[in-house]
Amino acid sequence: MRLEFFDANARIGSVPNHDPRHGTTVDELLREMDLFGIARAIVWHAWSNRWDIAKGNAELTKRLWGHEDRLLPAWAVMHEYTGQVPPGPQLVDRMRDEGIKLARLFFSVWGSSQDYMPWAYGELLGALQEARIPVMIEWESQRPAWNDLARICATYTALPVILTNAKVTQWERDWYPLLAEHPNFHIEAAGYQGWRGLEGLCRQFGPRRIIFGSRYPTYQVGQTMSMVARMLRPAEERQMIAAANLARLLAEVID
Amino acid sequence: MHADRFIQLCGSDEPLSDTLVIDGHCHVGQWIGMHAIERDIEGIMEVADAVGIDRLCINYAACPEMRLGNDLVADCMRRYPGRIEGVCYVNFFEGGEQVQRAELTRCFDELGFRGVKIIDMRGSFYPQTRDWFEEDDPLRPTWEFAQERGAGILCHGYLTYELARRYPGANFIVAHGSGVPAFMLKLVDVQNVYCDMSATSMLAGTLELLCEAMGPERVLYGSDLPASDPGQRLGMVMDAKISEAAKTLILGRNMQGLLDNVS
Repeated sequence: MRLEFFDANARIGSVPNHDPRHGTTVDELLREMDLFGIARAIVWHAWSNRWDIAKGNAELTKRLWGHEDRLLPAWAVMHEYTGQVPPGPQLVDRMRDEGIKLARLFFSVWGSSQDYMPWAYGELLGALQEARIPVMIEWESQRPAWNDLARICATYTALPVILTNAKVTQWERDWYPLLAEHPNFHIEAAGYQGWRGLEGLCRQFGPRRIIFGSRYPTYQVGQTMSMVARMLRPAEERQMIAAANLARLLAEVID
Repeated sequence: MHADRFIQLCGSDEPLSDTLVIDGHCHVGQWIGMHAIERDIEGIMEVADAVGIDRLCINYAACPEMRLGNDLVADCMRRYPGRIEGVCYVNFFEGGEQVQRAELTRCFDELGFRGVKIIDMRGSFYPQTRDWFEEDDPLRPTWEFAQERGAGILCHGYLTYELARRYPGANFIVAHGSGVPAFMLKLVDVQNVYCDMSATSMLAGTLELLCEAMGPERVLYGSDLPASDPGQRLGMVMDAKISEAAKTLILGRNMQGLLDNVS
């Protein structure tokens, strides 16, 4: 049986040391999706986490124009204190105006030290929660800050929180208490490689908390795709992970 | 790039039934600091059948008691005849040269093993971990044994350019080599060095780079199960931007050649 896939984590825009075989443009992304039979993808722009968050987000919207049926933009967000983005409620209003249905929050980005500070992110996360816009959180260059994640999930209980870049097998022990204690906590599976790991999570917590993402073009599309397709769970559970869970979260966004 | 049959299978649960798949890097037993379900041999074979892995090269999970661990691998071989290739784990801390050679001989001649595994458990892995001279090398009996038998050695650490050149009759497989492509590129011109692709980190383009530099004949599919998921690692090969023939070599044909070389 072949699953239908909705990719929660694709990127356009280049980064240093990028492998040229894996494309960074919209056309190249669409070709890759066609090759592997991926129906839709949520996309972010490389500039928005490392170089210029506002220009990265704007460029993303511009480049995805005309591809709304398959490519949905995800904006990077941050606190407003540096003036790079407007205050949280205004930023979220703009996201709603532009049809942005997923926010990305990058901590510990290479070369910077942007960390979670509850007092600085309160308005933003509160506004995202009000709009039910899922936030995908990544600790790019270090182990995720589990206590920060738990605090976010506990404070904003109606905010869908998706951890990404959770790749290392040994970390999964830390997912279990988060999944057990916080119903709004989800895991995006790109790069994860635990032995029967997705199956174990499904057995204990059900399939609703795992989201398929490829992390293309950093990773190859087929890695996580193959793991999800071949996990030893019923087809309906695999299909939820491959596409339906993400579609459900996006459908709950209040326009 | 067209969607070859492997790419078409990436999003499917169909096993790779018409392709020889040999997983070159497998373990049985518990591993340090990990949680995972169904890690015993029954759980492993259930996944192997579902994914389409024909044979598994298994060594014990680097336990400190090498004889005990090798016996457990032999037990798996007896329970699944024809499916499991025993790989003898050697730990030089457990005895002198005679103990090392005796265990290798026992595993190969009595238990039917066809490969060797060494791992540096002292904490340093790559790129250079040997810190003794040739005459003091505590693993010399293992290198010599592999040379005599034409066996492959899955090296997690220890391997150097000079070592591989010194024992041209042995085949050296760099465990998790795809995670250290810069190290692999230093060994490109040593023809008896192979790259195991069971790395925890493998960025897009790595497999293609290794195939271009070393040739697909020297890259081996390995999953590191049950530390890692074989489906994820299979996906890395299936979706790579290399020829279908190259994928077939990496998935099983290359390892078959190494196993057939053992006397």
